[in-house]
Amino acid sequence: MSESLSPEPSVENPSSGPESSAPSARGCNEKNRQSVKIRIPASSEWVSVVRLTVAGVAGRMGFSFDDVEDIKLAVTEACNNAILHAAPPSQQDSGAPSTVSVELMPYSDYLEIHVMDEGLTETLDWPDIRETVPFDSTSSSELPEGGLGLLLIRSLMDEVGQQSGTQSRTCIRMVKYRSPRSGDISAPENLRP
Amino acid sequence: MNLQLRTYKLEQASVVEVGGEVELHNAPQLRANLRLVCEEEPSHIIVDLSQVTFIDSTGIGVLVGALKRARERGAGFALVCPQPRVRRIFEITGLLQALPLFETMDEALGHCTVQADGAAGANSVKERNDE
Repeated sequence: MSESLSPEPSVENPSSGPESSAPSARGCNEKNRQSVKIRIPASSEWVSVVRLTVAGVAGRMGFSFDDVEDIKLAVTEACNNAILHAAPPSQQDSGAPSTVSVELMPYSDYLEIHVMDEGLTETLDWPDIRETVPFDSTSSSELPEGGLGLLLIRSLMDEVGQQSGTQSRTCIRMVKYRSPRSGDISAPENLRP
Repeated sequence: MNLQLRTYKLEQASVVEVGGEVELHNAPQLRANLRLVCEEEPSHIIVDLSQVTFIDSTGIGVLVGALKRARERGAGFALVCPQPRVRRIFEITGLLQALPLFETMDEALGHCTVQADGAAGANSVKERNDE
C-alpha cells in the first residue's frame, strides 16, 4: 500500500485466486495474495462507499444476506471510529488529510477485514476490546447514546482484534466465517476454525 | 440511499418518519429534526423506522437521546420498527428492553393511548387527593 496520503478515495482490485489459512496466524501488516483495498478520506460521507464495496465482496463470496448486513455494519463502526479520531491535516507530518484504509481479504470459507487509520491524534479507544459487555438496561436508568460501536463489532463478527502497526497506525482486524459461528454448539466440527 | 425524513401530526402524537440509511454522516440531521419536534412539546413522539435500510450505532444513539429528551419533557416516546434487521441491533446493544419498540404504527399509537389514559387516571387520582 502506498505511504502517501490522498484525499481522494482509491480502490485496488484483487490480483489472484483465493486461498485458505488460519486467520489468527496473520497480522495486519502481512499481505494476502488476494485482497481488495479501498482508501477513503477520513470523512463520514465516504463510509457508504466502503459499505458498498464490502457488500460486493461479501456477496460475491456467497455470504447470506444477513451476514452481509452484519459485515457492513461492523465495518461501518470501525470506519466511524477511525474517522472520529482522525487528525486534521494541520496535525499531520505530511500536512495531507487523514485517510482510512480498508482491506478485504476473501478466503475460501471466511472474509478477513482490516480497517486501518492513518494519522490519528490518539490511539483508538479499543483497549478493552475483549472485555466489553452488552449494555445491561436493567442496571441503570442512564441509557447509552454512544460507545456502542465496539459492542456491535464484537457481536456481529466472529473474530475481532486490534493491532498497533507502524507509523502510529492502528488496525482493527475482523473475521467473518461463511458458516455458523465458531462458538455455536450446532456448528459442525469441520466448519469450526 | 440518503436519509429521508418526514414529520406529520396525528391526533395522539407527532410522527417522524425515517427512511434510507442512518449513519454518522447524517445522524446530526436526524438529531436536529427530533429536537425540533420535541420542542413543540407534543404529548407523544413516534419515530417510524419502517423505511430504514441501514442504521449504525450513531443513529441508535440519536434515538436514545430523543427518548431521553422526550421523557424529560414529559412526552411519551415510541419506535415503530418492523424490520428484524434493525430490531436486532437494538437487541445486541441491550436496548430492546429499554426502548418502546413496536412492529406497527397501530401498536405504537395504542401504546400512546394507554400512556395517555394512565396519565389522565393518575391526574384524576391526584385531584381527588388534593380535594
